[in-house]
Amino acid sequence: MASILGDPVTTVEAGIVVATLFYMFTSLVTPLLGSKIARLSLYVSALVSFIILAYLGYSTIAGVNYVKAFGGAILLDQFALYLLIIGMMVVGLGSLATGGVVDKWESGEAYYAVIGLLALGVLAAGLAGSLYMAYVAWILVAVSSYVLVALYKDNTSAEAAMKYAVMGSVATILLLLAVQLYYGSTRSSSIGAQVLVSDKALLLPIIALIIVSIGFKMGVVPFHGWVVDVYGNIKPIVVSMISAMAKIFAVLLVVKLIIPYASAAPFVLLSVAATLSVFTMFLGNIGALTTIRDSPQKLLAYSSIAQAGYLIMGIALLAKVPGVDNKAALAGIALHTAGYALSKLASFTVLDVYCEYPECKWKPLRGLLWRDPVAASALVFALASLMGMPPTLGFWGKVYIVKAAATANPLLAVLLVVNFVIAAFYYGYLIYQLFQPLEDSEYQAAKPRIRARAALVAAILTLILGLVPTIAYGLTVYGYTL
Amino acid sequence: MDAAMAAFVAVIAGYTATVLVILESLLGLNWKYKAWTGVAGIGVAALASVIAVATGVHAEHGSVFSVDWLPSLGVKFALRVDTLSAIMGLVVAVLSLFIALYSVEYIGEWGASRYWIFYTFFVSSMLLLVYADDLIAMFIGWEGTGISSWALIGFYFDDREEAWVGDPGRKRLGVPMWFTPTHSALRAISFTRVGDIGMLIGIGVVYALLGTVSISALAHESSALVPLVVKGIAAIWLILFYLGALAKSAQFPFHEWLVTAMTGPTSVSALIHAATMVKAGVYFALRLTPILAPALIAYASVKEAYTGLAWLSLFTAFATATMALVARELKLVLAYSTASQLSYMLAAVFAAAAAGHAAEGVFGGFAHLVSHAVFKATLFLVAGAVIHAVHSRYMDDMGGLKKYMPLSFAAFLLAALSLAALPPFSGWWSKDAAVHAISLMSHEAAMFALITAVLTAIYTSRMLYYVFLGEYRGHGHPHEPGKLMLYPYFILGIASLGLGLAWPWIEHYIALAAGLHEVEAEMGLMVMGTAASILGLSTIALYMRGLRIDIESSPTLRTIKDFLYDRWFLNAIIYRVIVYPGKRFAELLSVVERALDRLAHEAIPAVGLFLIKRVHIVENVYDTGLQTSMPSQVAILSEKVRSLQSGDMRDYLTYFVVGVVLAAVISAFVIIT
Repeated sequence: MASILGDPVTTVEAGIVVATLFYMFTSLVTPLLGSKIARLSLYVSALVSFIILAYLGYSTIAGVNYVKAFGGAILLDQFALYLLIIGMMVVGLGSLATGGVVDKWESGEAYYAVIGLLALGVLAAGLAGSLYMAYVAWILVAVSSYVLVALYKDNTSAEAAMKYAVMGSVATILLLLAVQLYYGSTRSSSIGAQVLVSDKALLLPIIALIIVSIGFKMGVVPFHGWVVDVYGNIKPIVVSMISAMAKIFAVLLVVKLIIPYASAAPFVLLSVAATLSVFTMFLGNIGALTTIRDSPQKLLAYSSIAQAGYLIMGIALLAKVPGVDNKAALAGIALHTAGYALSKLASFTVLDVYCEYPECKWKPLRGLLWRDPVAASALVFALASLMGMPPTLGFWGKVYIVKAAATANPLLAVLLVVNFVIAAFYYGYLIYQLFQPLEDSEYQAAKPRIRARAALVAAILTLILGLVPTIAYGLTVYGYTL
Repeated sequence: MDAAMAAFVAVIAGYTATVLVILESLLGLNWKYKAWTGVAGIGVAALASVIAVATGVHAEHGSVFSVDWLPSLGVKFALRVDTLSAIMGLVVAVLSLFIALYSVEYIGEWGASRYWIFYTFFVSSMLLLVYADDLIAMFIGWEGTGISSWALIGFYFDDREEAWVGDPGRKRLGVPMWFTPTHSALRAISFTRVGDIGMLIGIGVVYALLGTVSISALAHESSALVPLVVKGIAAIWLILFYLGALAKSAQFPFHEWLVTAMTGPTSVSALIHAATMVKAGVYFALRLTPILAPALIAYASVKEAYTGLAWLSLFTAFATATMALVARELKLVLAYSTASQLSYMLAAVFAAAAAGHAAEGVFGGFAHLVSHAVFKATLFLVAGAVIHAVHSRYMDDMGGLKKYMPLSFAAFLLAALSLAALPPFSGWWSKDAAVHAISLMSHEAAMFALITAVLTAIYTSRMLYYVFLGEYRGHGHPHEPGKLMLYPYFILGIASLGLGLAWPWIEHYIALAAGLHEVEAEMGLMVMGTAASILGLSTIALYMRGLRIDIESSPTLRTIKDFLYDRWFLNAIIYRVIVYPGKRFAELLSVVERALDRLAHEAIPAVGLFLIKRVHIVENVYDTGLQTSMPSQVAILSEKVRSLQSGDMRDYLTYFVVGVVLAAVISAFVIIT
């Protein structure tokens, strides 16, 4: 199908400008107009960006795999496009869901404005064609995340935001260092340029620094300290947005930055990332299992760490070692990130309805299926995807990552599967609680709320998109190197 | 959009609506969303079917849409729009739309999710069946309609008494003669399943001989079926192949399921059990008889099979018409009448095939199918409104409704006169075409059909009188239903007259569908048909004059009436011969099952327990491990994990540094080695 504007580059440029303008309007103008308008504007921005990206995917990118625009500052490929489309879905559903809650906050309008900036940062990461763009994206996402965490004004949020920001600044310094060395090794500011230096001693710190700084953003052990305190303690509705968007952002950025080195120094990437992945998976899963009695929110916070472990394993398997199925790894990363984002959005949103802030307890979730079937089924579908039940997105993501791992080293595949089994216990426990018979009348049957409905839509999307994994697999062809 | 693409859209639209209604139910939305989603889905299907007709009705070889479905078996998701399927699809989709509009008000809130899920699923399955160019794809649509029919007959699963069929307490040969919705639903699916198995075997034979299940391919290579004649099994195969059609289209003795299917909501009776699904069998015959008959009719056994099938249909038409003469429930009269009219269609197809003029049979059968779909849907929809208005399904509680429901009466009258085949209504044209096709086989058959036509007109006038004329015998104050119910059937009522007036033009397309170049009409038969209709309808004068025979006082007449009222005792015989012995056999099996159960649940565990006691020392160790050691280990681990997550920033930064060092060490190690 021919583009409306004829030239693919012009189409991409026009689309990006329109999407950016919408988000800028949301972030900069609407806070002055009150939270209702800010929310509406955010929703419209997400919808417009979704339509633009979907159109680009359908018409412009489909034939050519990737497009460079704005003189190379922008690089749009199918892999990034797929995750960006998921990201826009998350922003849209998130802004739909929060109306009744955030609008009542003291600074509700700021919430939507900052999410607009966050979304812009994710867009910038997905579109980045140069190191400058990548760094701008990082700063946008980092700062807006700290602000989001701090936005609900109480001690817990302030403490969490402080920890997040301090560790984040360390990570930012390391990323800046990585970017400088990156420039040094390629003599070019454009991402994906040929690595010129053959000196392994210079390549070593680049890979390590990229993995460390972006690993922090994902919650990879041992840079995970903030994750439990942020995801486990603050308002779940904020977590629903941050956890989903941060993961999409981190994956977009790490894949962009690491791919040139995946061929330049494959064994370094494979060893560093796979080792960290094993630590992360085990700490995340065992942490979730052993804090099962504390609170469902803590459990999901640890599960986020475990899921980051699966993703960083996928990153490790991008290494251009002969025999390793890099394509399966990339497809696995895309599908798993998509599944993770949608199901974390759904599960934290449901927790927001039923958690009694500031302490998230088990009791309100017990027998939820009989009281609020909409919220409970959202949680069941979301957990099924996190657990890796077929045919959800989570299942396909895990299948592809395990497939890639088996080609690199069977031991890695075995470790992954062991972790899936451990995780099944605590996800299963959470589902089991939902199915408990109703014991007391303390909690009345509730009318399904808008948050629960939005969560159900997100959760069902993991199922529906899981029914067409082959389409997603086709979308994950990474333009210029694989 | 080409015709086959339109057909694809029509099939997908309803299924999409099904998925949406399921989502809406999960989201707990108001019933009105579900109802209008259903209507919208069917609206799209109807629009697509109109496009399919507009672009495909003249197509020489039909327009085909095909994608591989089960490549290993050569099954394709193939749709084909030719004149026959285009018109049939139009009739199905447009009637579904009218009846969907009626249902919005008629069904209302209770059970809305179930109703709209299965209603939309039905419409799509039916359209798949109609457009399919592949026997397996057709069979999938076929079963889809069966499962929706089951769900909707049992719609009132709480078995409320106003939805029953038959007189509570009445028994024949010790068999209860009243039926609850859940019972009827199971009857419907079991009866039709017998036929479906036959059909599946028939399809298997086609695949074995041709290596394909494509209908177009079968049409080109129908001579490949000749080996069946050589082996002497052609007639048996033919009957098995048609058995699904006979069951679906309520041919004797399968008509029993259709009669009790009236426990479903009346909108369902109108759509599924009068206008569309029961026509699936007829459609199957219309589609395949012109392929099979010309290739095989030269062989005596095949000719006999077709003759036998034609007489079976004529017999069904007659038998069910006699039952309609004495029924007390309005919907039951219409159900008998449906079975009877379906038999006309099949008789026309089979008789003309036996006579070697398959195309004439398709013309007669299809003409009657189209006109019957419109007028019978109208009759049922009015019946639904009437039953709702008087709060009774018995005609004894009706009467004189002309005064209270004048518009409903007008619609009912137009449709009823069409059913009675009075000129110039559509039923008159189509019944003459059917009788003409039957007369090609023999004059006796045509006479038999005409006698049934007289009976049809008699029960029509009886129904018309008892419901709308005379004095009102019920309680309460009947009134017209809401606009959403009234308009659909009023328009359809007008349509059954309009179709008759426009018939010479419509006839051209039906002839095209049958592959007939010119339509022959026999003056003598037309005159006799008209006379039969007028003769039957004239009995209304007897009612109006108050001339009635007191049946109850004459033992002979009462015996005859009871015989007819109890459906020729056929239900009782089926239950005595098949159902009850089957139940006793099941009870016998349950004794065996109980013995096996005891073995599995008592004897084997007893042995196990005995063994366990011997090894209880091992068991103790295991127990301690599981109950004491492991939990305490987990508690220690838990404590360790917690201490890692101290909440102290300095700890976290220390981990961070450790991580950086670790990454550096690993990288250095890799590079050195």
